Amino acid sequence: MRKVYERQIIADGWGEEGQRKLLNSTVAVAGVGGLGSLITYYLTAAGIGRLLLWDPDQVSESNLNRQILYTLEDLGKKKVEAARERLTKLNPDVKIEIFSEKINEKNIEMLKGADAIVDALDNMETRMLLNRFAVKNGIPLFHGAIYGWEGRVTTILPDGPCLACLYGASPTAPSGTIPSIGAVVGLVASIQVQEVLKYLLGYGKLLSGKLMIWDGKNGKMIEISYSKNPGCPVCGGEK
Amino acid sequence: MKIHTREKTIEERIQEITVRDLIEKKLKLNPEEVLVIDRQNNRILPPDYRLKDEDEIEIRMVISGG
Repeated sequence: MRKVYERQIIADGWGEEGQRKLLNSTVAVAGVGGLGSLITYYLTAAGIGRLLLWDPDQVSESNLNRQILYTLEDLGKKKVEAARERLTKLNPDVKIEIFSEKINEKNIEMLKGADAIVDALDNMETRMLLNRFAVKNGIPLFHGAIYGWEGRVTTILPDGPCLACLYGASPTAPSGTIPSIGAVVGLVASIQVQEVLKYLLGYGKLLSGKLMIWDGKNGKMIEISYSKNPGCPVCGGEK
Repeated sequence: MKIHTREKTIEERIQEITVRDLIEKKLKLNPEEVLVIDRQNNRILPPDYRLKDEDEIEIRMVISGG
């Protein structure tokens, strides 16, 4: 086992066996912007064996306050290409496959082999598409979102309530230029990564049926519970 | 009933009313754009939940920045 893993292997619930599980896992990350930058960095550092990165965008200067994978030298590059270049330098154990396109009803099928899907997107329409796909295929989905000083995280497990139980089938979020603070993005992404790692390691409790809200204005973390909606058009809501 | 929003807290006397009707008819908001939280029990309230005057709720907008 490489030295790079020695400090995490000694953490509760990890060990060499846990590290081998991570090295044999595939995680898809939808969006390599603010949340996705930090998520892919920590998943790569942790030694996830295979990462699938999706993002259709190119790096622009307004990204750099929060998208920590990129520098001024990356302006104009495709995000997934710049991300792979950076992440491969960090940990060559990780096989990184990139898709410079928006996720849609057809190409989403390529996520079928993933052990986990991380929702680091910036629009509700594709988030709900990911939710439907994850529920249908029994793949856990790790959701995070931000707006200014506020952040939210929840985990969708195959036997728990889904994103449509929480938000309804066709939620609408503010559009246009979204206020984004690097430190808030980092906090939300870090919690998402912990959820993914705990799921893959089989350790601890997950945020299934719980929405964690970071209220940065008041310095408060709030945990809100939600249940399966009996009329949910996505998961059916039986449990 | 106490209603907390991002900007302010308002107190309003209400007869029993569903979450959906409160959001759409009284507050004139789009229910697809908000989450309604039961402040006393820290849980999301579904649209058909019947609110009572003693309830305290918080309305947060749906967010999707990444």
